[in-house]
Amino acid sequence: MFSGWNLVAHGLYLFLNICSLEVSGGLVQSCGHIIPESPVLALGSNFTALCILNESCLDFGNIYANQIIWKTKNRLVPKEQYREINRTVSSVTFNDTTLLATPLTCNILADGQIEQNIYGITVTLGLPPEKPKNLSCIVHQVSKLRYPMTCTWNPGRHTFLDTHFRLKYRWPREGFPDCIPKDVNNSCTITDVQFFVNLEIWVEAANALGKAESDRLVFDPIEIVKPLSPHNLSVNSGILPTVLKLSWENRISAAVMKLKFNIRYRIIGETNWMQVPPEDTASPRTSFSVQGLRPYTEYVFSICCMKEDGVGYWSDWSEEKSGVTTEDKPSKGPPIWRIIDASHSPAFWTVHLMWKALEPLETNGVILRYEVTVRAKSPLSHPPEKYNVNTTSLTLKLPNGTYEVTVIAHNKAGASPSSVLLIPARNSKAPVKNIRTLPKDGKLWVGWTAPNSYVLKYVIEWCLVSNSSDCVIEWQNEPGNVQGTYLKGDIKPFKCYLITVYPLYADGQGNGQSVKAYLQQDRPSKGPTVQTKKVGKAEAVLTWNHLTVDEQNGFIRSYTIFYKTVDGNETAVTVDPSKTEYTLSSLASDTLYTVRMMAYTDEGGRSGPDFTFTTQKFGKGEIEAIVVPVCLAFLLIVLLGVLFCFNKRDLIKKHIWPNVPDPSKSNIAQWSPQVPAKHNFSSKDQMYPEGSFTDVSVVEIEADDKKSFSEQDLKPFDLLKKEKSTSEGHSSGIGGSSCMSSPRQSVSDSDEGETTQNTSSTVQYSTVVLNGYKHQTPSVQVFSRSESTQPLLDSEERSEDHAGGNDSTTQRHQYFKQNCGQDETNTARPRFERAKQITPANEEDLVGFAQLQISGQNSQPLGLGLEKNIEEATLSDVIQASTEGQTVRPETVEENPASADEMPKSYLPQTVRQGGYMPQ
Amino acid sequence: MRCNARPLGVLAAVAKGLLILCTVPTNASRSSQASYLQQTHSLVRHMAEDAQELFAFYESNQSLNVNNICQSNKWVEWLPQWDVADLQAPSALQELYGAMEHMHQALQTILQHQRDLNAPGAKLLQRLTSTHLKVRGLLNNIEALLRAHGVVPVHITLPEKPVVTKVFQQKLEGCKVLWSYSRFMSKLNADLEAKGFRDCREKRRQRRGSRRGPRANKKVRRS
Repeated sequence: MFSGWNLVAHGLYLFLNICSLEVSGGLVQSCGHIIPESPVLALGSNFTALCILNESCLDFGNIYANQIIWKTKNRLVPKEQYREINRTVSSVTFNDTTLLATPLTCNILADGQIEQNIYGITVTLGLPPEKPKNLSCIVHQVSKLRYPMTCTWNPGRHTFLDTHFRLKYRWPREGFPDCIPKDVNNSCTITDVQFFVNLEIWVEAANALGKAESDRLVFDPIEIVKPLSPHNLSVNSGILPTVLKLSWENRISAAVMKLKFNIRYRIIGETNWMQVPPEDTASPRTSFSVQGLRPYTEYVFSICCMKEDGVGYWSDWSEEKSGVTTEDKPSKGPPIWRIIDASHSPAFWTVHLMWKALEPLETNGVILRYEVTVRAKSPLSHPPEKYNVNTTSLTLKLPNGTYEVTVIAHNKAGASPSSVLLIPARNSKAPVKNIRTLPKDGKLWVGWTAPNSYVLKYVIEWCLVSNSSDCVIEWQNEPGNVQGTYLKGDIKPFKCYLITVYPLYADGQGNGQSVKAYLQQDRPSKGPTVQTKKVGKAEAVLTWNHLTVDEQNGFIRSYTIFYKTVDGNETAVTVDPSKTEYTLSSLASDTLYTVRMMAYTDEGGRSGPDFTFTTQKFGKGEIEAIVVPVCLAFLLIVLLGVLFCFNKRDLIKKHIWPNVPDPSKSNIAQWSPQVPAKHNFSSKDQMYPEGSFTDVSVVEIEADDKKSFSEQDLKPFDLLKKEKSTSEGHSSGIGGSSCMSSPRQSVSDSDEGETTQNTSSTVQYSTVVLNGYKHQTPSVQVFSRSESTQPLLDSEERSEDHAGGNDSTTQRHQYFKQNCGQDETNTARPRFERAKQITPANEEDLVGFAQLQISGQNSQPLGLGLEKNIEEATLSDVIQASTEGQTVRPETVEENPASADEMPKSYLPQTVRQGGYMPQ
Repeated sequence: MRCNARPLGVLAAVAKGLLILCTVPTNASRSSQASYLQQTHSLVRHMAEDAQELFAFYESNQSLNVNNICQSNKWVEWLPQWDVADLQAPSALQELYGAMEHMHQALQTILQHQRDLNAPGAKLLQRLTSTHLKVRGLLNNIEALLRAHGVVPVHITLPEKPVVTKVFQQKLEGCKVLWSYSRFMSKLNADLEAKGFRDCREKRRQRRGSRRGPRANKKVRRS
């Protein structure tokens, strides 16, 4: 081994010496070099490089092989991998080139320290080519004479090196230039091949690390031809309506290749292809008649071909060509059905005959007309009637009976078989049973149980149930041996369909059996709107309307009522879908409830709007139980009151309408002088010893004060006015009465009016009660005697109220003003002033007299009348004057208790003394 | 005449090959021979058609389709006019092989002439090249058949032909060759077809005979 390397090193040395001699004339001379120069190494292999120093450098720089260090990409190679072959050659060995980085440099340590590069090489790592695999070829026919062959193969692993592939091929005695792939490494195309001569073909892959060849294939290129598809395809309709003849041209010579064909066809508009049986087209040809086609149908054809023996490839499908078969008679009669309307007249039917246009499969051409024949069955005996129509419906008005209706469709080729429908007087045959529906595959399936009798066929009738549109009937026929079918129509989801199945017998029809169905259900589009029908204390009656069919979107399975108080939990109640009313019970009284309602289908529910109501505070009858007794009690009280009033009617009457004595019957003269003995006052005798004087009352009416009286105050005067109107002319006035009464003025308190009345009617005394104003109790009662039965006026009674006013000092100064003999000049003065004029003269005498003063607008004439025309004026005049809208106000009624005993002594009216009014 | 011109060594070799072919026919050689026969038959059919088309094309392309100028020429002497359709006979194969070698050289000459007259890629050149390839292919098949028969084909030495310098003469020479070639190939194909029918008939007859044979034997035994 060593000797081998040594030989190599020597060889190299000699070679390098020669080279160095050649370049010794140059400026730079390398001190050494590495062999091999730029090697290509297989990944994973071992590698040894030699660094050979020039002899000249040995002498010049004392450089020897033991000073060489190796580096890979500036990385020091471990010295274990070095080997000093001789003093000028050092080798380095790499056991695995996978780790070998490039460049590999040979360096030397000058003087043991200074590193100096001697030489470097670039190492190329890679893999030898793999054997190409899966070589396969195909000859594509591109024209009648050109047959390029394309071969493909699997080039194997990546080699990391420049690898060349060559497709090699040859005849047994002749070779051809290699086919060199362009831009690819796995396929190549030979421009022209020769058929019927075996070709040997293989792939050679080569790179710096070696060569590899694929397995060799030997074949006749005719066996791998993919021919061009036939062209100029034409389709011609034949004599028969079910045949179309195809013709084409082959683009490969029969001398080269005998072809077999494959013909596919489809009805235009459809996607599925049908195929002519391959055995029918397995021989060379340029035409073929396709049979078993539908009449009057447009077909699309396409054709392909391959070598007759099946070796090679099928061509692509040719361009599509279409053709139409000729017409044939309609294959069947149109399905027929009817709608009988017997509502207009019981004796006649309006029969709407309708039939379906035949399917294209069945028409076999263009339907030109329909021939409808109506034959009446016994007992009717009409001749058959024929109608030729172009539409698919016919409306007839027929007498009630049994008819046989036939419909025949005509096209250019002829007439269809007839369709027969028996229209019976009534559907009296057995119906189907157990009708049911099932949504399936996006369609609605209807099933039923057949009746026991033999059924010719079934008619399935359906219509969309909607609020917004009428039920437009659609229908279809099904043979009598089926018990279920899909509805052949545009069945929409979420719509309600009413489906009816009629069995048709040979001699009549069965009753239709109906069912409602949905293709697909959804939640209702809205919820029911609930409202209260009646609200009680603890219950509420809710009502709602059923959702319309359009709103339901499915079968309403249940309703759920949700109700809650403002702060309470929601309570749900499920209600049967047939109900439209529900009573909520156990509600709290006088509480606001919110209620809503959900309608549920199989797919879910939807809630209606919220509705609020408030329960009542009282239950039914509770108010009645309270009100009725109260009313009864009230009525009882009223009744008792009425009875009481009735019993006391006299008293009340007297109170309301007091008896006003007739002044004409009054006789002052009779009693005044004769009854002083009855008077309690002993001083009376002293006052009227001769009995020539009577009491004189002064009534002064001030017009200004009228306004100060209220209506109530004036009422008594109104009464007086009435009384006066009845007794005008002979009623006596107060003034008169007063003048004729005793000197002690009789003024009765209103509280004691009744007593006063009674007293005035029975006793000739009037009690002057001096009530204190506002609980001011008068100290002394003064009694005056009067023979008059006339009650005291309210004004007179109230005068105490006014008299008992605020001014106590004024109360104490009672005035009794005697009209008789009063000076005219004093009348115009104010009351106080007049009283003062009186008071100095009669201050003591006037104590104990009450002064009754009537103020009013018209009081002055009255006063004047009283004062000026004493002789002419009568009491009635005074009363009259006072009742004419004037307020009679007893101004002051005051008694001086201290002078009560002295009153008779001091009383001596000046007017009397001066010759005033004298009782007669 | 031509055979006389061949050297004796060649004839001896052919005879040797035929002897080997006749004495040791193996199953493998039989199957490959049948395959080569079939291929050759197909190729001849293909070449016959191609030759006719090529002649027609050449004639029109070279404007020689007047007065049947090409067809009135003499048959080229190196294309045999006798029956060479027995592809199972090595002598016939060798005859055919020699004819195709002549044709190969003639087509090379025509191509050379036409390359001077046509642009590269011209259709006539393509057709001539294609026909030339077919001729070469037939040579390969014949050689394979001969080798399958154990005969090493004898490459004939083609005589030096005088150089034709005139273009018309070149065209006319080409036309003459192609016409002869097409006739030859047509005849060869027709002979092969006829022979194929005959062989087919013979095979059927043999099959019938082989079926009847045992029955006849039985009858004989009974009798």
